[in-house]
Amino acid sequence: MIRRQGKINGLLVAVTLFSFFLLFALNVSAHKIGGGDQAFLEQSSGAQVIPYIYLGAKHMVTGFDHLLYLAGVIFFLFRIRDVAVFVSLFALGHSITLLWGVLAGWHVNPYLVDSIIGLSVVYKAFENLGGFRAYFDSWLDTRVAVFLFGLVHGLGLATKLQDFKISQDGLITNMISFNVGVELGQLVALTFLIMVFGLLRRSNQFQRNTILANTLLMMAGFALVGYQLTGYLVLQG
Amino acid sequence: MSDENVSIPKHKLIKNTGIAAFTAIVLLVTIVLPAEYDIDPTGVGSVLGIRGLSHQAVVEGVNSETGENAIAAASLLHINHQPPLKFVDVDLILEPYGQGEFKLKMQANAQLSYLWHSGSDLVYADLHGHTLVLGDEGEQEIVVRYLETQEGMGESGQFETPFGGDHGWYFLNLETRPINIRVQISGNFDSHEYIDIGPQI
Repeated sequence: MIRRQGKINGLLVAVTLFSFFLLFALNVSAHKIGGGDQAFLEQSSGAQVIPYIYLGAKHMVTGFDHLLYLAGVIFFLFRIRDVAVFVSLFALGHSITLLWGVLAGWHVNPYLVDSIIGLSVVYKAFENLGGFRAYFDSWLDTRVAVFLFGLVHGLGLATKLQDFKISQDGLITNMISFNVGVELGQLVALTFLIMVFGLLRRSNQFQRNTILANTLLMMAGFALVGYQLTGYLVLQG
Repeated sequence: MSDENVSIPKHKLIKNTGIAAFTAIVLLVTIVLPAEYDIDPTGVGSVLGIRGLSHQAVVEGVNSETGENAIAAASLLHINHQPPLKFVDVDLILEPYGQGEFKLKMQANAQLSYLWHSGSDLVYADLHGHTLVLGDEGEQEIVVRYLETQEGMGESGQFETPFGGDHGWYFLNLETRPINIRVQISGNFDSHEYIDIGPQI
């Protein structure tokens, strides 16, 4: 029984790693939507279900900021039920602003949104280190925070989708397809993250690794903030 | 539920946050900003040879045989920092069967309006752009021809550069006497130059 489980786990790891490899091989740049994809989409008009699903998934799996935040969110979630609650709140948040933002034609500055997304990584890492609890008796509930930051991540997704100069023809279908793709990509990423954390927890140095991992996560968040703010100042200012 | 975060002493929390922020700033200033935005206050980016790297990274793997891919890739390089509008008004003198190349250094997505005329003298002209990209086998040149005039006395028009690099004309004097070509240009170019190639044998 145990051996069989091990085999299945090994298979899961292999499949996930392989799909990650494929997605990364297809898109070296971490966050922008590739030129070829963009050209393809701008040439085509009307409803494009599968291409937009694919792009949504690809954006999620290759978008380091979303992945880092997700890693922070599920860091301390042992139970699948908890993971489901938090990830659903996050998905609800980003779906609302993704759909609403595109429909209402909001044009938020992508650099500013992406720097707040970077800040969400810092926030989560600080929260994981018990930072807010150390200074405040009551602080924003982690579930409320994940929903609010979901809203911000959705704004970022909306700006990416709007970058396509998506045609009005078939807008809603394409937008929903993109959103479905985002959730699928998130699922792939989560599978991978949960397995990695599962392995980490087995080691008896988990406590020490926890502090190190969240400090690194915070550092990555700070770097994202600086990177995006500089982009804002240099390229948009 | 799920509030199973760690408890570390306040001083350690501050220390770790400080280390995270400090490391992030060091990495940004020495590596990320030089590579991504060509901003290199410390000079470390140049020493490591990563300054402006993200530009090259985008064109890597471009196949020089298919100009279209190259244009698509090269057009990604554009950063919306065009130089201000400039004007040139020059007379080029070409000897009998003389050749010359009038080139403008331009970034991607720069605008150009031009007019050239040779009076009543016949000229072969070729408007093209070329740039170097880093391909699989080192640097490769991409040349894209926009407009060819077999026998003409002038041309005017405007265009937007699909990629950054040199854009301009190759002129060939088809007459047996020296001629004068007047070139008038306005656009967002960085610099311009004229190279006299000499007569075609």
